[in-house]
Amino acid sequence: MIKKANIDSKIDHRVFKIALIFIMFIITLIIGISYGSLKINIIDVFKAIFFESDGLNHNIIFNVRLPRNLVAAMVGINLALSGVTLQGVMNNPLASPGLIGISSGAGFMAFVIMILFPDYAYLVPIGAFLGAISTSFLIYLLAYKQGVSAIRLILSGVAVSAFIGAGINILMTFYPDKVSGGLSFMIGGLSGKTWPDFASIWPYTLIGSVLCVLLSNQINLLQLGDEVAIGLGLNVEKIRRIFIIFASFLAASAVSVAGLLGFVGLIVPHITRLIIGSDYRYLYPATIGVGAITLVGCDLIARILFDPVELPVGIIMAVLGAPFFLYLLREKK
Amino acid sequence: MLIKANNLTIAYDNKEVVHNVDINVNKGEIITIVGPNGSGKTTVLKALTRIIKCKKGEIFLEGKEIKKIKDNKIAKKIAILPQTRNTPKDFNVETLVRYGRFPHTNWQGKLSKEDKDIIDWAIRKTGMSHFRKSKLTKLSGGERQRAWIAMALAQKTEIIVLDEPTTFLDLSHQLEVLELIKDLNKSENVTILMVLHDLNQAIRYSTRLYVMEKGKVIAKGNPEEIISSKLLNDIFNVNADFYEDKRHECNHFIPYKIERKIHDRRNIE
Amino acid sequence: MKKIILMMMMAIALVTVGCSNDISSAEKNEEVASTVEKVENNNIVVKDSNDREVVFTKKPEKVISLYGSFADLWYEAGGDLVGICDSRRLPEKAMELPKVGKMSTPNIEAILALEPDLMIMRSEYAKQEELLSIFEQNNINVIFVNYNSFEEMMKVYEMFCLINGNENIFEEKGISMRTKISEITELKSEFTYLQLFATSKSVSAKDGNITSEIINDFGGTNITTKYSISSEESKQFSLEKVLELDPTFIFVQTMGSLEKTQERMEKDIITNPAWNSLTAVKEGRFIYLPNDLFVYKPNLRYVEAYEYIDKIIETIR
Repeated sequence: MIKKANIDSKIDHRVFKIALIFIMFIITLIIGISYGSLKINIIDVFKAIFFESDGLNHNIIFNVRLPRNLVAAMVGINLALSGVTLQGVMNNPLASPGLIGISSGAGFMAFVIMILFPDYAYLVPIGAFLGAISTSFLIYLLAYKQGVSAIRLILSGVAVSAFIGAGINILMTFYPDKVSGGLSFMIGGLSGKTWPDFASIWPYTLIGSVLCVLLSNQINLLQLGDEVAIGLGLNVEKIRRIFIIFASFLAASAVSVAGLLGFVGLIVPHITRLIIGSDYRYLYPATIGVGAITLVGCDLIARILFDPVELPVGIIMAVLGAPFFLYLLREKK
Repeated sequence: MLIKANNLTIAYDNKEVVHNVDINVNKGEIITIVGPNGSGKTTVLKALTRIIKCKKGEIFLEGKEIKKIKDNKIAKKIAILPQTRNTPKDFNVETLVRYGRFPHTNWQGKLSKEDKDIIDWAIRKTGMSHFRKSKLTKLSGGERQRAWIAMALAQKTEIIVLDEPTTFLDLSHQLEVLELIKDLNKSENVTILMVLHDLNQAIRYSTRLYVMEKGKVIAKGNPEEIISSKLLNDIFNVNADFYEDKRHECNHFIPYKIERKIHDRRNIE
Repeated sequence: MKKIILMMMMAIALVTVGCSNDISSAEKNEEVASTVEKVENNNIVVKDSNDREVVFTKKPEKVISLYGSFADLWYEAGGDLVGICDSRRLPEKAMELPKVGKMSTPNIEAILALEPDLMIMRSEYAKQEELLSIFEQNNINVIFVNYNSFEEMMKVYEMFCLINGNENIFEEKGISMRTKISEITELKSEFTYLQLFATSKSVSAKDGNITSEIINDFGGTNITTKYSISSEESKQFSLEKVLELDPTFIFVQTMGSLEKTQERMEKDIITNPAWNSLTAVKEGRFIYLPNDLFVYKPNLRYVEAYEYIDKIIETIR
C-alpha cells in the first residue's frame, strides 16, 4: 500500500504569520489613532469616533486623526503592492514604482503645475496621477518589441526617468523662486490628509487587494520564467501588461495623495519576503499588512517626535526601516 | 500525426535563422533534434511550442493550426521543459509540481481530488516522493531536473517537449533523466520531442532524429541510418569510429580526429 | 526637558504679548547687519549684508544686479543698471536691459563683457556667493544683499541711496515709509494666526518671513512660533494642533492669481469637514494674500502691504 502524501493535510504555517501580521496592523492602527497633538486617552478616542458628532475631540479625532491613519495605511498598502507586483513581473528584486516612471512622471507634472500653472495648484493630485500613468505607458511602449521583456522594461524605465528628471531640473533652473511648492510634493508626506484624500484612494486599495488575491497564481507562474509560464498556458504578454497597469494605478493613486515616498515600494516587499517567502499566494496578503504597518507606524513617529511640528514620513521610514531590513537580511543568511 | 510543422521559417530581427524546416512527430515516438551550436534547433523547439512566432510556415497540433488553438488548450496537450527557467528560492517540490495542474484549474487555482492524485502520481513516477517538501534549491542537479519533469508530467499531456534536459548535469544525473524519459515513453505512452547536445545519447534514446545545420534540416530518420561517418564529417567536423552498443541495441561512436574543411580555412584567411 | 522649555517659552510669550511691538522692533535693530559710514576723503564705505566692507571711490557707473527685487530697490534709490539677470519679475525699466543669465546660472562672460564696476548679488545664495573671487580678481566691486524684514530693507535702501549720492531720496521716501507704517500699526489687536503656503493641501506653515513680521506688527501671534525647532521658515505643522488652537486668521500665500485660488477655496476648504470646523473658515477669515506684496519683496510698496493687512484686521476691531 503506497502511502499517499496528503497535500493540504495541515494549515500552512504561513497562514499563521499572515494572521499575526494583521493583528499587528490592527494594534498599530489603534495606537496611531490614540496618539497625536491632541492628548486624550483611548476611551475618549473611541467615544469621539463612535458616540460624538461634534465638539473639539470629535473634530480632531474623527476629521483629522482617523482619516489620516487610514490614508497612511492605504498609501502604504498601494505602494507596497505595486512594488511587490513589479518585482514579480519584471523578475527583478530592484524593481519598484520608481523604476517604471511613476515617481518621475508624477513629480514632473507636480512641478509643471506648481511652477507654470500655480492657479491650478489644486490639480496637483490629478496631474500627478495622470503623469504617473502616462509615463509608465510611455515606458511600456518604448520597451515593446514583439512583446516586452523584463530587462527592456527596466532599461526603458531608467532612461525615461532620467530624461524626465532632467526636465524637472530644467524647470528648477528657470524658475528657482517657484521651486519650493514642487519640492514639498517631492518629499512627500501625509500632512493635512483628511476624508477627501481617503475618498480618492480607497477604491484603488480595495480593487488592488482583491485583484492580488485573484491573480497570485499567475504571478507565481511568472516567477518560474516566461517560457515555463507559456508552456503552462499563460498568456505572458497579456498578463504582464495587466500587472503593469495594475501596479501603475496603485502607485499613481498613492503618489497623487501623498507625494513621492520612496522606500515603501522597494524595501517593504523585501522585508515581507524575508518573513514569508516568495509564494505570492502568501506574499500578497502579507505585503498588504506590512505596507500598512510601516506607513501608519512611521507616520505616527513623524507626528509625535517633534509635535506639533511634523517630520517628513519618508525620512522616518528610511531611518528606521533600512536598518530593520538589514537586520532581517543578516538573520536570514 | 501529433505535431506537423511545414515550411517553418523563423527570423530574429529580420535575420532568418531557420529556413523551410519540416518536422513531424507521431504519437508514441521519441523525436530528437540535434545539430551543432547555432543550427537553430532550440529555435525550432520554441516555435513549435509557440514561445516565439514564425515568419512563415504552419504548425498543426492534431490537425488544427496551433495559432488558432487557445493557449490553455495547447497547455493541456503539450508540456514544455525549457532551458531558461527560474527556481524561486523557497518553492518546494510539491509547490512546483502543483503548477503543472494550472492549465486544468480555474483562475482561482483550486485543486480537485483528481488534481491532487495526479500530483501525487507525478511525484512518485519521478521518484521524488522522499523530496516532496524539500526546497528546490537544496536538491542536486538531477533531482531538480526530475522535479521539473514531475511538473511537466502533472500537466498530463500527450507530448512533453524538453530543451537540452541533460546539459550541465553530472553523468549519473544525465543517465537518470534520460532513463526516466524513456520509461515515461514506454509505460505511460508519452510522446517526447527534445533537443539533445550529446549525439550518442540521441542515438540511444530516440525513435527518430532530425539533424540541423545553419537553420536547415540536413538529415532525418532512423538514427542507425542517418548518423554516418559522412554526416559526422560534414556536419560535426570529426572523424569517428563506430561500435556496436549491445546493451542498448544501437550504435555508438567515438571521435578521434578533427576534420577541418577547406571552406573553413578560406573563411579564416 | 522639551516640555519645560516649551512652558517657559509660553510664559514669556504671555507676558510680553502686550509689549510685542517694543520687543520686535528691538529685535529688528539687532538683526540688521549692514551699517553705513561716510569717510572723509569723499570715499564711501558701506557694510553689506555679509558684513563685508566695500569702498566706493566714486559713484558706480555700470551696475549689474543678479536679482530682480534688488534691481527694483536700486532704481528706487535713483540708481541705474547696465545689465540684469533674466527673470519673470523685472521692474519695467529693466525689461530692455541686456540679460546676463538666470539668477541661478549667471553668465560670467556676458557679465564681464558689459564691463561693470559694481555687482549687486544675493547673500547666502551659493550660486552667486561663489562668484566673489572672479569679480574681485577683475577689480569689480561686489555688494551682497538680502533682507527679510522692514528694517533690514531700510538699511539696504539707505546703503543704495548713499552709494548713488541720493541721501535726500532716502529721507524722502524711506523715512516717510517708516512713519506711515508706525501710524498704521499704532492700534494693536490681539489675535492668533496661521500662515500657510498653498500647496496640495498639506499644512505647510510659514513663520519668520516678511509677511509674518507685518502681521505681527498688528499684534498678531503666529501659532507655530513657539513650536519652532530651528530657524526654519517653513515647516509641516499638525492639523490637529491647528484645530485645537483655532487661530483667528488663516493667511495663505500663493504663487497663483488671487481670483482663481479664491474660487478653488470655496470648493476644497469649505467642503472639508476638518477645515470647515475652524472659526476662521466659518467666519470668512481664511485669506489669500497677493504674491506681489507677500511672496516677493514689497520693497517700497511696504506701506501698501501694511494697508492691505490693516483692512483685513479691520474685521475684528
